[in-house]
Amino acid sequence: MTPTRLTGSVQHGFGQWLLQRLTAMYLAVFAIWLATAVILDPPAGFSAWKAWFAYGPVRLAFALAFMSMLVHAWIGMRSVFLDYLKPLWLRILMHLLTAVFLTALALWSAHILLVEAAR
Amino acid sequence: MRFSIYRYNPETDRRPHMQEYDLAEAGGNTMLLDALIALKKIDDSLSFRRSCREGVCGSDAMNINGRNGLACITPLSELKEPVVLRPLPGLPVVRDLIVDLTQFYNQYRSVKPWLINLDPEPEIERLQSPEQRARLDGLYECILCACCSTACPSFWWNPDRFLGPAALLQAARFLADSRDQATGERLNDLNDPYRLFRCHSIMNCTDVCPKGLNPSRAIGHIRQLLLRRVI
Repeated sequence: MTPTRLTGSVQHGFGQWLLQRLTAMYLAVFAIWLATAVILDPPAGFSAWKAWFAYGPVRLAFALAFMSMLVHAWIGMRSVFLDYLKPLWLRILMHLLTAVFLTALALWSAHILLVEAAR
Repeated sequence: MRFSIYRYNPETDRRPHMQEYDLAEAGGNTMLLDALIALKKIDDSLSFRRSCREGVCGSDAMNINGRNGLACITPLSELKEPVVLRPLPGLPVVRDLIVDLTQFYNQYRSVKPWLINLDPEPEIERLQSPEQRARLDGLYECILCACCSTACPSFWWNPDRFLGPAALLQAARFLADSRDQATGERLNDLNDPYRLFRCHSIMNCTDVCPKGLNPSRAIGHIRQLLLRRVI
């Protein structure tokens, strides 16, 4: 192994690190709130569930959770790729596949929150 | 006492192998390095680095029974037999227990481990209050033995781009120095997905440091400085 020439700093990375922690904190709080809400007051049947989900603040909480999850997943997957994938083409390919998959999830989430919940 | 030692001479061996050695019990407070020196009297082809033999120079860092440490301050009485000795993991082997530390030193050098102060040189020392001096405790004691960096999985995967705990501890040492004026440039230089942020707080570094230092906490301080800069 010949030592590689060092390429210096790209001067970013802290923002991603911070976002990963903030989204994790929101998801932790959200998960506890969701579990508590469902256990303490389980919606009786589909229509009750739908009414609960259509309620503005609940939908907002879910919207934030979906967004946090997508951001968290992107940063986390990217971190795994940077750690373990060495060939550049494989890195680019996996970034691309992850981006396509997460974008599909984002569109699906938006559809659920804006179309299905309002129906 | 039984030893199993990693042997590799790139000029003659096709691949490394483990060699068994047997040594008469020395007893008392004998250190592992004493045993290695005794073994070298029996087999002078056995190669390892050592210098101060009292845990100050950091030359004889090696992997002892699966854990990085300094042979000179590891008592034989604490080791399970056979004592398995390997070179520091993840670095190219020059011969037997001697590794090529070029990459490690390159990363160390890239954090500019010296005081950057553009003021005219004072006639006496640059003074510090006792409190300012105390902030360097736990940072300046590093002897660059490489036990921490070579115990770090992130350094194993990206030794060419991740600084590693030893270099990051030194970066923190100069960020903490009241006499240094390059805090901003230093933070810019560390703010990188590889250089700093390959650290996932695995904390192997803190676990193995033979000087009892805490690179993990030092890295946390660097992140705190970056956070203060934006919030």
